Amino acid sequence: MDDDWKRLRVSGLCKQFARGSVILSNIDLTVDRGAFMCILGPSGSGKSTLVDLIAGFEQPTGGTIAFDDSPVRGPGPDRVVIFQDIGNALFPWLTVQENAEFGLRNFVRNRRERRTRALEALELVGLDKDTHKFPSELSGGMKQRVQIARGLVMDPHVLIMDEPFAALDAITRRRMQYELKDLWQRTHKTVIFVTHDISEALILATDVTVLSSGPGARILDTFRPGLPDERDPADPAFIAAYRRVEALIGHVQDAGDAGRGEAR
Amino acid sequence: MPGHGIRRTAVVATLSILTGLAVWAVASGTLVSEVQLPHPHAVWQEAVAKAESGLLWESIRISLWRVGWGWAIGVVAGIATGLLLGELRGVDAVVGPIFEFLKGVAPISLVPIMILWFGIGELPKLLIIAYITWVVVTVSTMTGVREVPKVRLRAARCLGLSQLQVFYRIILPSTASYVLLGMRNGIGFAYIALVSAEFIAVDKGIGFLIMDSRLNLQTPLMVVGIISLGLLGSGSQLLYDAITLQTPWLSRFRRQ
Ligand SMILES: Nc1ncnc2c1ncn2[C@@H]1O[C@H](COP(=O)(O)OP(=O)(O)O)[C@@H](O)[C@H]1O
Ligand SMILES: [Mg+2]
Repeated sequence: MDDDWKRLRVSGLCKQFARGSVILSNIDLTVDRGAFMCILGPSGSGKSTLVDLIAGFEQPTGGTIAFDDSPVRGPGPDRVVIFQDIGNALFPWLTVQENAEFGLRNFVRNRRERRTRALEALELVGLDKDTHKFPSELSGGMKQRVQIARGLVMDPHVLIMDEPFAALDAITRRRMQYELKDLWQRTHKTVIFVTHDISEALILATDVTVLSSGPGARILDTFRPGLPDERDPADPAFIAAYRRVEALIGHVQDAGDAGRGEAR
Repeated sequence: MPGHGIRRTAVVATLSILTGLAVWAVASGTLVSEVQLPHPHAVWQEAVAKAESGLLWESIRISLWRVGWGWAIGVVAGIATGLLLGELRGVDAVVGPIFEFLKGVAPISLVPIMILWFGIGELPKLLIIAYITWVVVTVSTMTGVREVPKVRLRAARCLGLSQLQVFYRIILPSTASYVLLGMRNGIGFAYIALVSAEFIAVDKGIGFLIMDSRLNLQTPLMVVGIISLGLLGSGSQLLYDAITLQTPWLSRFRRQ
């Protein structure tokens, strides 16, 4: 894989499941290297379907996904996914340390190096004191930190996060958002982050893509929020951006309802 | 903490056994004639006599040999079949009900056909025990494979594992707890099958001892056989639990 890539480009992407309706139609998306791209959309709009295609878990019905000019095929360690399903994404028979090391076995021969690399990643997410615990002994937030460490260890081109904090309580969720923001500022890893939460997107993103409600979701808008590095939900600029997105999504939902009305 | 639980279980078990013995001792000779239900003391004397003559040990030895080998063969075959069927996507929907049906077929009903196919030697006896264990372990293993969460498989794939690596680094450890449970249930089924198997032809073994003593109206010996069977069955399960619980690397797979 080319390590000098500049952007991940999704063009004309369509997805229709066998004998199902069209979920995504003609999606174009460009993620620059180092960007924090939030994909924002209502539930059921096809956000997970979109990232499953990018991750290579599903094959598109049409269109392409490529790092510059080299198309992606199937899942691989250049696009590691952090899943929403807190209870099932980790390997419960392995300790925190072993979970974090898991993917390195195929790529790093030296056992001690695997250990140090995993420990570095665990330090980044603040879990270097819990390396011998099993996932069943961790809180939801800690489990998601292990997932993030397990992904970071692979040094992927893109870290794909599909609503990673959606199942956490509100306080933990907010803390995780700021921690992730801090992590991103330190590592400048390219992130594709899926959410249905407007403030979450505005706290984290350098780029926001808004999906219309499904079925047959398309991209409504892609924009840079143009907010300062330190995001504050009480900041007037933040509130203004929030309103703008809300209006956009509200408009979409009305249109979706109208569409469904016609179909009946 | 676990030690405390085990101690309490032991106390409760001892009490319930003593109560059972007391009821039995009172009932024998009063509510029921001693021919139909011999007194515990008579049974004890019979057990001592047969232990001294060696007949009891010889019967236990041969029965344990059959159960042990039959179960082991069934376990190995069941794990292999369960993994294979679980991995073949879509097959489990068809095969699952068939195995549930087979699980319901009492081993004893297979005795005549086993005699027909394999004669009256050791082979049909082992096969009946192996067969039922195989069914139980297959179902359990197959369920385990089917229940591996999709995100766990996906997580492994994007961490760079090949399909084959996913099988032995994700599917095997994810399925282990189901296999262990199937093996444990298999023990009970294996003992049920043992008695059926020992109805095949005149021979030795605890099952044979029970049947033979009925023909000779030696009820104390019959009760000795029944109790030995119960002790062996529950003893085997206790041993299995002790081994699996005390093996540190196995306890990992119980965590979910
Ligand atoms: N494997 C699948 N087969 C058929 N339909 C699917 C499949 N996966 C998702 N869908 C449908 O696609 C739509 C979008 O789902 P999803 O991508 O999960 O949305 P989101 O993540 O935005 O909530 C939903 O209507 C869902 O029912
Ligand atoms: Mg989703």
